[in-house]
Amino acid sequence: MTSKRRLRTGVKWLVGGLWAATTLTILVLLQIHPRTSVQASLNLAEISFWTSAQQLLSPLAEQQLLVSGIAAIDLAGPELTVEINGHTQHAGGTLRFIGHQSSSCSFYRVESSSLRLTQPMTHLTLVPRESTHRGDDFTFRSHGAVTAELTTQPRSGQLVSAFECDNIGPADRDGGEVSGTFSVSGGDSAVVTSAPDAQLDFRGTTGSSIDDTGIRIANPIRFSHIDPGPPSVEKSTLLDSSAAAKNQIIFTALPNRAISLEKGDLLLISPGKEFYLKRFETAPGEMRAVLQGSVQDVQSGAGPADLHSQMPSLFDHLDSWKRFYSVIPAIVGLVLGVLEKMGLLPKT
Amino acid sequence: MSLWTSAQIQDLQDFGNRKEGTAVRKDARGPDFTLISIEGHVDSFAPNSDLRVNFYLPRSDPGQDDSSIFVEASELVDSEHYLMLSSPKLKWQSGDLKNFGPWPTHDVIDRLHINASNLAIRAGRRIDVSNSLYSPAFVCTGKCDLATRTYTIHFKSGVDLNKLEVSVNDAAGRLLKNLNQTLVCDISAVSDCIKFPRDATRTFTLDMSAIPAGKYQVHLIGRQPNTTDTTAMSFSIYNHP
Repeated sequence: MTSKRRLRTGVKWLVGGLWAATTLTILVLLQIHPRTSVQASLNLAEISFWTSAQQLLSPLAEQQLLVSGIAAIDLAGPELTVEINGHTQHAGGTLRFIGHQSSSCSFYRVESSSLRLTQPMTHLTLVPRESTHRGDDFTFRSHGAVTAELTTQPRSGQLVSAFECDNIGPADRDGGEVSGTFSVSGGDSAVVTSAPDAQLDFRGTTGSSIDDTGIRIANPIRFSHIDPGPPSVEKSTLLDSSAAAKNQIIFTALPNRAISLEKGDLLLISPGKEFYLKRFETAPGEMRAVLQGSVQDVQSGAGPADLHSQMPSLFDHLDSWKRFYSVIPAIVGLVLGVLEKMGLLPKT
Repeated sequence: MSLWTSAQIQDLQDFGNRKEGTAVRKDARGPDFTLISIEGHVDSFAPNSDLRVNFYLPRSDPGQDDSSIFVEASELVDSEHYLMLSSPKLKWQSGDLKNFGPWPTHDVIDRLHINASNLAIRAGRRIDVSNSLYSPAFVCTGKCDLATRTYTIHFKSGVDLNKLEVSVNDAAGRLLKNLNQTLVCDISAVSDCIKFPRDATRTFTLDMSAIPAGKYQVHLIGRQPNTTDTTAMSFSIYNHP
């Protein structure tokens, strides 16, 4: 009798222990948010991120390219005509001008190559603009030098390829105003190397969309900009979803696990080892960005103090592994079989 | 790397004669201008330098004390949100020439990798909440050459501008016509060219070498393309002796 009671008590403790262990395990699993893969599709007013990419943007043709912050420009063309501080020079060859952070240039009717990023890490901000004229407008800010190779277009009626710069000069002279026109037949080149901090304004881009693919993102990316105060406020850059283009993040490792985001939601993504701006394309005043790769954390909320992790827990991951649950009855059967063999289960 | 560094210098730290660190700068939003920097000269400097800021101010009016004198530094292109504000408790030199320092770059500037070419500086005396008398600042690492009276003004506009008109009045309100400037696209290569794109820090120079020392009022009028809209700003500047 005594041994039976002891056995029943043992079984009670065993069952209770299993319940407690299961509950504790579930609680622990709910608190663990392992690195996972996502695909984020977002409509944005602008995007800022750190990248280790070495080049960016597909080639573009633009009516005007404004560069604020210039280290150097190299011009080459057989009919290049240049005016330096009011004195005309028919250069017709190659010319190099040196600038600095306060130097700026406008290039008219040129085609730009992909932008080369010369630093190991560069901070970029891309801002599509509402167009005020034909073609798209687009602002590109860089913390880290950028090189752009420009090719001039042939004359079209009265319109010529040309340039004008402030605060630049030949290497051996002080900076001043430099302007000029390129060859009538087009095909001249200008290589622009920006200062360490630069802004490029593309105006009237035509014939090709402003886009790119496969840009590696290196650091946490906040989909916001700071609205200067006082007090300064962090504002979301998420725009409205449309029927064709929803703001959503799909956790690709978990079937049917996705979060939807609305205009004004603040979003923070902390990349894992490999995370990419898979592609982006701009339209006047907005851009569509698709980001994909592994992430350490995804947080969203109504504001900076309301950010909450949206990452699936380890429990969610286990829950999605259907085959895991088919193993549980087998494990339970095994445990019961062992207990039976040891004579620890009560006889019926 | 830079993000990590910024995280170490969140907000402004007190270094006695100044607060220095990172903070979001109040820039123009909408059509307004923002004055970014008014300088006579900024020396290029190596890491671990000790900077000094020299500037001139006329004798203060009654009711103004040393707490109204300020030196502020930021970035021409705001990448790291760098900000330095001199302490309002500083005791300034009694003469016209003011000297601010020490300002060691290893405290913050070197850690944020800010170059001399991207350093913005504003100095002067605060008149009231929205008005200041600016004095072109000379940032030096050693002996300072204060001879030039051609100043560099860095500004930013909240809208695209295709024309900027600069005019200067003396203390009596007379327009100094020889200082008028109109900055436009020189080349009409496209019909609606932009001279000053919005949110970009741009520069013009003000040559005050031919006019007497004293207080002057500078007026900026920006013209927006394809509209009759304008944007304007005025500020006071002290042309040093």
